[in-house]
Amino acid sequence: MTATPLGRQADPTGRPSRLSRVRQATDGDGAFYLLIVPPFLILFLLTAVPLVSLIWTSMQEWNRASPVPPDFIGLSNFTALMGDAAFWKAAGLTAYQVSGTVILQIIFGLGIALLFSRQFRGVGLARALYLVPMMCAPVVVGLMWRVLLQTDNGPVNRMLAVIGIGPIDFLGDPALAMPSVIGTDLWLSTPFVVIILLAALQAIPQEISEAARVDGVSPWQMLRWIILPIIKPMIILATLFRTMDAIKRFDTIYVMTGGGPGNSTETLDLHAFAYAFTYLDVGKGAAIAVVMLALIIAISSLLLRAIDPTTGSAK
Amino acid sequence: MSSMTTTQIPRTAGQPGRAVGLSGRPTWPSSMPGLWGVLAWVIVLLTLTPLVWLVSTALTGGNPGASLANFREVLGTGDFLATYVNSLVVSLSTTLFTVAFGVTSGYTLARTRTRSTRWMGIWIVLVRMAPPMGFALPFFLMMQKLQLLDTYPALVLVYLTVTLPFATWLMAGFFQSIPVELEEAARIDGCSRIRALFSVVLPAARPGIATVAIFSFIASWNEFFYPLVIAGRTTKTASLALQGYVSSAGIETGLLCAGAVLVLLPALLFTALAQKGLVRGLTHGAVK
Repeated sequence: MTATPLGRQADPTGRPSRLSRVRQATDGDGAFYLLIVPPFLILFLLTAVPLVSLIWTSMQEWNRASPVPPDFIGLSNFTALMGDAAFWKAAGLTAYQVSGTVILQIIFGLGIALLFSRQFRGVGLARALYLVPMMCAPVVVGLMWRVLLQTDNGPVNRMLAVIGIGPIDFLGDPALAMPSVIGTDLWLSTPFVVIILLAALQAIPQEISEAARVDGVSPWQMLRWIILPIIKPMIILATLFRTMDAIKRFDTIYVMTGGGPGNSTETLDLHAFAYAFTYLDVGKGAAIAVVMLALIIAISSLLLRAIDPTTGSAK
Repeated sequence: MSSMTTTQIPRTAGQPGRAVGLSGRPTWPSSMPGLWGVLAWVIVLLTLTPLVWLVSTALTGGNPGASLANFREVLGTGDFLATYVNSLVVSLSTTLFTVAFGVTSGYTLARTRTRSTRWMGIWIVLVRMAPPMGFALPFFLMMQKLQLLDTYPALVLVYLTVTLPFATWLMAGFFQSIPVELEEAARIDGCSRIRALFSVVLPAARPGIATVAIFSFIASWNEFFYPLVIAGRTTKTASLALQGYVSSAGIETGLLCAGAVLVLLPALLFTALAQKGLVRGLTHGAVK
């Protein structure tokens, strides 16, 4: 990372060299910025305009189904949400889904990463194959598991029948629908955690593990007191990424259950979708999206602080 | 690639042939190597089982014996083929724009002052965190006002909100790892800044550019939520079309699986071709 301003040559005397002065006249920063600024602006416009417009929309009383034009109502959508039991239920379900997904994923991901950091026959191939689910389209994954988990003649239930467990209505039972959704996400995105933690494990200097081995440390002590502290920042980072993505998880849930049965899998994202595109209550849908964004920012700033308490930023 | 597991500790004369700690106990990384390898492979195979089932059902389900009948029916009837073409058009255009814009804005980030870099970094993280609803709803309303719903440009624009921030971030990291001295040398040799960028920096960043291209293609190809909101009848993507095989009356399993395999195919192909670069790109993005 360089702190050198654009268009200036590094010069031991601190003054721009004659050469660079000449060059600055002919193709200095101006020409350079001309080339570089447009894509930068596009990136910014493409992301800033929708976010501002979202916040503006969240302060409107606006139902697309009614002929009444949008009306500015300040924070009323938000205060209405605070008193809305359906919103709190969706928030609770999101907490359930996100914590279930992320905690299990970190545990499994760490275990599998430890396994893959060993040397065994075909380790490279095994690692490559294990990453395949991550590249699959989530909608395909959702539909695939929906078929696999079918009550009548679904492959999973057929296998369970072999060991005498009678058909389980995975997606139709309100108590089992969410665990099924979480299980699908485990299959889909645990590989992401494994990639990050595997990279972290491989970056541990060999001298450290060798020294510990020479000192006769037990496997458990090695994991608890040497490996975990070293890769802790990466664990937190993986948690951060997975939390952000789990809060936004839409496609698999939408095609597996559509938020049902009842609304037992209707997380905040599906709740917002229902308001914005089914009930056409745009203002309220936008308000839920804003709450989600605030929630995500709060959670991630907490996690980031855990990495580096002095600066509050990731290294 | 470092492998801590193959390292043998210096053995003393009394402990021939086995990697054993000085305390005499087998130590953590190298105890029972064979068993752990078997366990790892069992996990890999279990993970792949659903996909194997998917492919075999696509080949046999519904039409027993006829191996490609499901694929023929999926591609030959209905609008699946048209949606597949839509997906290709939108994903390839998104990739093109992402690479062009991602490279230039990433380069700007990498070569400008730290303060702007930091703010841009924060902004990009913020955008990456925003729930899709945060973009989809405003985009839907804007496109509706502009009469652009159900057009390719609308889809490409909204896909760029997913791919461009990540591409910029990744490219910035790649450019930062290319020493500034390389360009400076070229400029002292008489290159203009633009020419130095094209003839010195870009070739050195080729692996990064490939990673960005593959990432954007896969991300836009796999997208479901945005087309659900923005696409209409003429621009429907393949990921949406799959839902057509699922109705309240039941699921056409054989056709659904064949369609699903077709949707998975390009992403898996690209992944197979560029797995190393992709993993490096992802972890690089994570470490930053």
